[in-house]
Amino acid sequence: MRIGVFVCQCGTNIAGTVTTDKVVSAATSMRDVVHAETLQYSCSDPGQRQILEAVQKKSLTRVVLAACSPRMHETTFRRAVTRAGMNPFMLEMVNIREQCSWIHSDIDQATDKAIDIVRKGVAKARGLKPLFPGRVPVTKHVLVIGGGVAGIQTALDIADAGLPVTLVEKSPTIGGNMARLDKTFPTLDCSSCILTPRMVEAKQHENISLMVNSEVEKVRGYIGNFEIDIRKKATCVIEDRCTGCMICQEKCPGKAPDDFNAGVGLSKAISISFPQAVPMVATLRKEYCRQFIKGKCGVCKKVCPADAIDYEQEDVMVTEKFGAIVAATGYELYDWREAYPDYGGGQYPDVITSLQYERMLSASGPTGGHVQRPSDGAEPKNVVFVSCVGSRDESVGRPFCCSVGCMYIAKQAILTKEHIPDSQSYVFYIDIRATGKGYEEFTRRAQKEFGALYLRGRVGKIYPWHGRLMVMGTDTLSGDQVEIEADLVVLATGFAASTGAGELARRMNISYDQYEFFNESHPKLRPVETNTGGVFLAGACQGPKDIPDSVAQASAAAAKVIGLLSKGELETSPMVAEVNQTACVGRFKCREVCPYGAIEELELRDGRVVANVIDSLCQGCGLCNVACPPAVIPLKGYTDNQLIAEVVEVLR
Amino acid sequence: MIERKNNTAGMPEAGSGTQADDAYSYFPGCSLTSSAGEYDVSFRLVARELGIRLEEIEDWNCCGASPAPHHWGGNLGVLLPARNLHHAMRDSLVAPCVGCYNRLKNSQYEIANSEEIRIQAERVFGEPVRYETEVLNLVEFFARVTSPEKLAERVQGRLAGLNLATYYGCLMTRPAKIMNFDNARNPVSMKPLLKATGADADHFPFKSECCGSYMGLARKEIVLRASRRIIEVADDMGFDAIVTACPLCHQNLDLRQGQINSAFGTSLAMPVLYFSQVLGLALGLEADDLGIDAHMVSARRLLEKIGHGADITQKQAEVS
Repeated sequence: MRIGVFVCQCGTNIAGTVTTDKVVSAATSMRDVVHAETLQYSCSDPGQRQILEAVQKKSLTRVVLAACSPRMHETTFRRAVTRAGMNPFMLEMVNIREQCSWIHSDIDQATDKAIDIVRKGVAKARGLKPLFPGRVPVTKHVLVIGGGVAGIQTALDIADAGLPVTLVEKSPTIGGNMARLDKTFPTLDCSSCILTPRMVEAKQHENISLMVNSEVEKVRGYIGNFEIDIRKKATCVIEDRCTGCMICQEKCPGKAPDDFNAGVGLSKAISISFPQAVPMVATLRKEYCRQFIKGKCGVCKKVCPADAIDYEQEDVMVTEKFGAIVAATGYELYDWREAYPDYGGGQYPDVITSLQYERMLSASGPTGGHVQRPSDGAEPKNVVFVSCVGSRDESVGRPFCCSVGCMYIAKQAILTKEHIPDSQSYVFYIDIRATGKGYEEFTRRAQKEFGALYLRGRVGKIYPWHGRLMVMGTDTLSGDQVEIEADLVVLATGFAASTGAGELARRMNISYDQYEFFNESHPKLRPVETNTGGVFLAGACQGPKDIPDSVAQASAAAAKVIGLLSKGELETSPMVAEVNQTACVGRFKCREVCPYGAIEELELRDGRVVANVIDSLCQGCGLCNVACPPAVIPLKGYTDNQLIAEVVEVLR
Repeated sequence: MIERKNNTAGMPEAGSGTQADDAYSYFPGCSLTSSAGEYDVSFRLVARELGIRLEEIEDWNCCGASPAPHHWGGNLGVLLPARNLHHAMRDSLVAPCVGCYNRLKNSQYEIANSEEIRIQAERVFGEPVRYETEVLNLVEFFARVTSPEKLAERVQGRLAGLNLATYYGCLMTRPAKIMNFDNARNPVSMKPLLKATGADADHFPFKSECCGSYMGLARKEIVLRASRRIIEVADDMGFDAIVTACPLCHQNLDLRQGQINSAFGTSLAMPVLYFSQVLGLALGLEADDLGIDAHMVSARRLLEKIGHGADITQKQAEVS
């Protein structure tokens, strides 16, 4: 056995705290080590070449590389040793950066620890065996979760590449939050004019099948071969029959909150969200329907000319196979009411959110594009915008920037002036964050051309005052306390992850942050991937974003999916469990704990029934190793003997 | 050790069946024995009505107020209230004046966190300082000795029709780390008991705004400006009265309301009641007995609204 040890300096990342020469000289005296050297940057081209040359010159049979986390570059180095003619799984990577140099400051102690880690790695490497990856076919079918602008873009890009896509949306229409916007910054194009055609395209595309009122219930399988249960919720409307004539909505006697219009105005128990909805199909909400509350009504059923109403309709569970998943579940507005009692906590009708204001500005909105005070319907003259409500505010536990507030305030201030020429807008801001192309110019325009008065400071309190609202704040530039009598106050509320985002993440087995935004695999280099193979991210589900960024990320995710599914089959990791079938006692504890259903029964020629691992399903998690009573189901590349050898070395 | 002893001199007998162990140490402080006498009277009356025994701390002294901690320096601001804690014989102490409450809790906090102060206190008091007694403010106290359900059952919605502005001021909840009471940004602890009386207690946006505090002597205009806004907003929102638990707030809002009116040409007439007085009214006690007639701003309209109209004697002149 001929082991080579390579100790990476990673510039000063490792060498700054670990004396790599000492690690090398310690490694030289370890059993079976015939070569040890230090490399300045092992991942660089010269670094990889040095490894290759050493393997060939010294006829190495195993390589121990002490460097960064295997999460970073293990694949790179497996390829490097392959080029030198070795089996890629004869490489053992040990982490002396994240788990040693970065977290320690004492050079002597860190060096000693690095030596321990290397000794452990060498011990494990002695037990390495060549492994050979298997291949599984991929399912060329993509699931996109969320039908906002990001989901639509991803779905269209993938479908255009010829792959079938199922687009799942939990609400009755696709379009997401963008469909609720009036205009978009910084060009002021009409949001629905640019989005609606894309929505229709998604519906008409031969490769896209659209499922609204649907949610992902269960995800099984792995990259290339997911099996997913989708629940299509009962809407009491037969989708194929409904023509979208809206007679039911007109006649329905049951009032219901208007979710699409962010609570501005009322909707009906049976309704179509908005005139451009896709699909143009009514949805009945049982919780507001007289037929379900009182047991009698039936108006919609009577008036429907297409006989599309079915009160007996039940949820349908659809199970399909997919090769990849794109999560594009978007965002919701942060519910500010609880956290901001100083702004009335939702008790003053004329303090509204930016999205409610957006619906009011929209010509197709509940007020027909007329800006009105909710309290009395009067046209406001003084409109105060308060930025960063529920963002950049540590006192309410929301320290992050919503990334769009500054821009949409500028937009709404401009639109306010256009709607009401004799109005005056006031904007309280912390900083104006306008970093995109044409953004800074846009916020300047709001001030110079449209006369919005920007005040740098926070609003401390809003209170009712003689039929109007008094807004108390600070102008930190002049140092003055300011009070503005407002007719309408618009809160620029921050972003929150969609309701249930965390739950969905757990179903897909991807990680998420404390605010339930999904985590990308690497913030710079893998921005649309997750740590679960085959699951990708698009849009604001990953963090607050504006439309251009969401669309860009959506196309990026599509490119990744297309790349993945362009191959007919995928390589599977050979680091899977393997049953020692001579010793297996057939208790099948392994099958009980296996989350992937990778254990099957196998009858041997002598009639004994033993466990067998289906290589293509096994993900190498190791649960069965621990559960097996006689301990005869080792994980290849991580056998008990290898792990014990490591422990022995650490304890030495 | 000072012997445990009931000092109930001058106090009404407690309700039947009360055990001595149920008693609470009572720290009146200077305000309740002078300018806020009606606070003291109403507090004792309501406590008696609820069957709670109060035991006034023997030989209590000044809580230190603003001057001791802020102007004298040293540890006087800690040691003065500490002496009162030291002499409180019961597990819990109630300090209706929130200034006193604030000083007592500050002192307790400083002692608990400083070995040096504990040693100093021991030197001054001649024995290890006892400071662990639980310090309660008036709202906390009533929430402890009764419950919204019990109170509601007893008062049968006597205050229905009133809408009361809850005004907490600054000292009851701040600094939040030390007071550790309610939500400093949006205190709500008065609400459950007030609602139990049948009254409404809608959100009052100025509930924890500054009233101007002790600036009344040195820079009166600051107080007039600050208090004016509190009263005006309460008036504009249609409240029947402001409810407070702080003698200084009361002074600025009630006593100075006439000064506000003459300074700004306003004609405010917003009654300002102590929390204990509101509970007293709810329990059916007479307005005069609760000292409501001692306020500068007449509460006549409010009292009429809850059926006290015929029998009240208004001693004070209406503020115009």
